Amino acid sequence: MSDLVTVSELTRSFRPGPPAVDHISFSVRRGEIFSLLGPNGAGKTTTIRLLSGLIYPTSGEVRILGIVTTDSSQVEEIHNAIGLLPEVPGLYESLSAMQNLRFYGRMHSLSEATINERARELLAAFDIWGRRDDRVATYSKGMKQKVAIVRALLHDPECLILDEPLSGLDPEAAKSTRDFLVDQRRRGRTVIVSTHNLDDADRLSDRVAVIRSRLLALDTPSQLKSRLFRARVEVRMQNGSPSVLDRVRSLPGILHASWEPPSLILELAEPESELPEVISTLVRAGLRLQYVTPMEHSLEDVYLKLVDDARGRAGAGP
Amino acid sequence: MKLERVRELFHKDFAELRSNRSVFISLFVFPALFLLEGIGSAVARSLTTSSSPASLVASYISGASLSLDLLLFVPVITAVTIGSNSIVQEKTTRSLEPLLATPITDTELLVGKAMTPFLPGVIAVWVCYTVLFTVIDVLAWPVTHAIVFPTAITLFQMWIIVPLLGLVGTFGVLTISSWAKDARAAQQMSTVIELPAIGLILVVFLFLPSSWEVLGAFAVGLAIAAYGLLRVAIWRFDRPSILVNWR
Repeated sequence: MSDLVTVSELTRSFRPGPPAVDHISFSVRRGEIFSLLGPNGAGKTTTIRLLSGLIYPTSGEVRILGIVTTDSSQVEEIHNAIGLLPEVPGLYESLSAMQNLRFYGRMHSLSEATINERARELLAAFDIWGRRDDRVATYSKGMKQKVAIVRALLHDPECLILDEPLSGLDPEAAKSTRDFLVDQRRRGRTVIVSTHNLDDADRLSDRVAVIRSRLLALDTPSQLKSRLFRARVEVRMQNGSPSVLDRVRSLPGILHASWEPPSLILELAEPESELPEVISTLVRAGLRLQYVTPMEHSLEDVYLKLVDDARGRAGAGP
Repeated sequence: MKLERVRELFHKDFAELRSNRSVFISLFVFPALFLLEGIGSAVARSLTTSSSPASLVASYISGASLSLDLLLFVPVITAVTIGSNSIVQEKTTRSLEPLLATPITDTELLVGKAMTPFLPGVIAVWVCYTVLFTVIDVLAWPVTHAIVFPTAITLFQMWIIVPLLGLVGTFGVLTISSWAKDARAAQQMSTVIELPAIGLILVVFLFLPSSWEVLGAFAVGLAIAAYGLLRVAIWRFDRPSILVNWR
């Protein structure tokens, strides 16, 4: 997959204070869902605004489709390539959803027929076509968020940039939005999401960048987990006891073993090659195994470890 | 600059303005009052017997002048009332961010944003002037058998002074609107625009003799002020800092 967005040494400072975004570099491939994770004040919204060309970097650059976002001669190309959902939907509340969409469609120089066709398709996908002529002020928060996502997609951009797209949505609306984003990836659209909902990021993202002003880590969720944590396996038994620890600790590849009744918890260097030997040892010892399950660390564990480590480094100082 | 975008922005702003009924209706209060004053004065004069057609014409002209002069406040007041909400409202509702994410240029945004504060006030005054001229001419015709209005000076007021006052109010308030860091500050600072303009109108039209020299100097002064305020508005309109500095 080729890169759609390239970020090089991106830095943005606001006086007074340290840089909100500090020498961040990454690239986003075409057709992937790329999540920006970070605590409040980590620079996620600033990064989103920099990626969208709404604010300019203090140093470094963002390229979208190879075009530098600060190139004022190509503003039209850049903004037509991007669909932005800001942190707040920012709809015109005294107008209807259709009036909002017509306005934004015309800003992107879309024809009337295209606006109507796209609006119908997208509003129907979000189940709000029936209320298209109601004033946005009468909508729930979730509906406003959906209309704002439709607005971002109306001009059929190659790249969607979404700042906290699932924030404040009820579980049903959040699921339909998640499914919608996955569908956008299936259609080949690139999606950049800023979120602090780690569960959503884990489920949605092809790759995750953890930032706290600086880029702390960048990889797929599963690679991040395996990079930071060892593989753990839960072996649940019917007739186990703490004495089982003595049998397994001597086996090769066992890094750590603990007894959490009624299960044995093992940390292994290479579970695929070492686990068969562990299981047969336990069976030979007369233990009746109920199940053997890999215990996954969550993205939350990864995130907390990275952010804690970063805090620790900042606290230690130079 | 794409005129379609400017027109769309104006249509959108005007639709929003219309939906805010209290503000929208209040825009018509001053023009209606000033127009009624002029019509009332004309009707009163038509009921009095005059010695000659010439003195009746003079009487109509002097009677209408207060109303015509008072109507000059309207473009400034309207521009400030609508304009102080223009960019500020986009900021408070956070709709400026998605708007700036469209391909709209700064010039298109400024021109589009200027049209809603500018046009309603100017058009309202043009309509009031036209109605007042017509009413006076209809009332005077049986006696004078001549057109009383428009005079050359009132035409100059209508087509030159009124739009210039609208531009001064509009560009001034847009500058403040993009400068201000919160809505209250924008509204308070906008009144600063009104006061000198209203003071000038009072001095020029109510206290100085109505002459081409005075009107010409006033028009040149307004044109310079409008151009200066436009330059400041363009200079101050920095989209990154508007997004970042707003609270």
